Amino acid sequence: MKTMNCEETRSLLVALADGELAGPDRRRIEEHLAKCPECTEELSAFADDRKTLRTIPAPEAPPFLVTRVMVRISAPAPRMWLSPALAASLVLVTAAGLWLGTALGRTLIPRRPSEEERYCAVASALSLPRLPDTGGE
Amino acid sequence: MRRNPDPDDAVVGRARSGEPAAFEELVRKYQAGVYGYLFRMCRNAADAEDLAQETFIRAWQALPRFRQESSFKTWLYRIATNLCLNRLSRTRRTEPLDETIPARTADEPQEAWQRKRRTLAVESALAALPPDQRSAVILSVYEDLSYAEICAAMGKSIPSVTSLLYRARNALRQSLQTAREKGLL
Repeated sequence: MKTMNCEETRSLLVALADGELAGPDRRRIEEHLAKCPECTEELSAFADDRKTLRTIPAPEAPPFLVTRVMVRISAPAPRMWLSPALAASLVLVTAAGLWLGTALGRTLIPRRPSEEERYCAVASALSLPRLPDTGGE
Repeated sequence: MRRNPDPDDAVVGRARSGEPAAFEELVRKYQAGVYGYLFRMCRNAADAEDLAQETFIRAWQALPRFRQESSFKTWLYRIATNLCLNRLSRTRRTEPLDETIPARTADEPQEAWQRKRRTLAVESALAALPPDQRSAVILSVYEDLSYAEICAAMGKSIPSVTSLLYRARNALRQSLQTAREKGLL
């Protein structure tokens, strides 16, 4: 098994200091450390840094975090999308409304007389000459 | 891939079936860790609380899709990490740290004053790291996640996390060394 040089060892020293190295890598690095005081010192410095980092107090969670989360969870979610059944019902109701509106409109709303019909009505009242009949030519 | 049994499996199962009390149990268990992680990441109490709330809400909404390939804890940290790194990249804001060494007040005990200086030195060193390195260090050192769990939480490979932590810890060594020379540690 090839032993590690200082450069290879240093790239794995943090992992070793964090207790994350196992198997052949760990054996190779330990072999190198046994004969390299510089890398051994480096390993010890990384372990000390970890201890130093852990000396600061942990931030405290705000007092009502759990309550706020649970309130937001229990609030009904805004309805962004219609369910397929509701959407289909709405399409049907709209289509039926349009059809009914058109049919009733034809029946109930009187048809507006054409220009010719209005002239004829006025002409007959005032005894004006009839329009020349252009139909059938 | 199914991982080893998770101590949260039973509670997560109840929460997945829509039981809010079970989810509340999980929020209680992880609130300190998630909030602490987010506070150390963005250095702002309001942002940290907002992100912590959002993390739990997203977790609740995504629970039916949680395939339990990782533990609930690492899955939760994955949500928190994504939200936090997104926000930091959008706002490019980590609360600036006032690095002025506090003067000791007349009635302040020596020990309390030194603790304050030590905390400031460590927080300054952490705040100087880029967000992804800071995230890896906080998850490793303060949240006690293993490298495999950090990979799951950050969506990165083992070599990538190992390299990220190597660079971060080297940068921290320099900063902590400077703080020691100034007598802060």
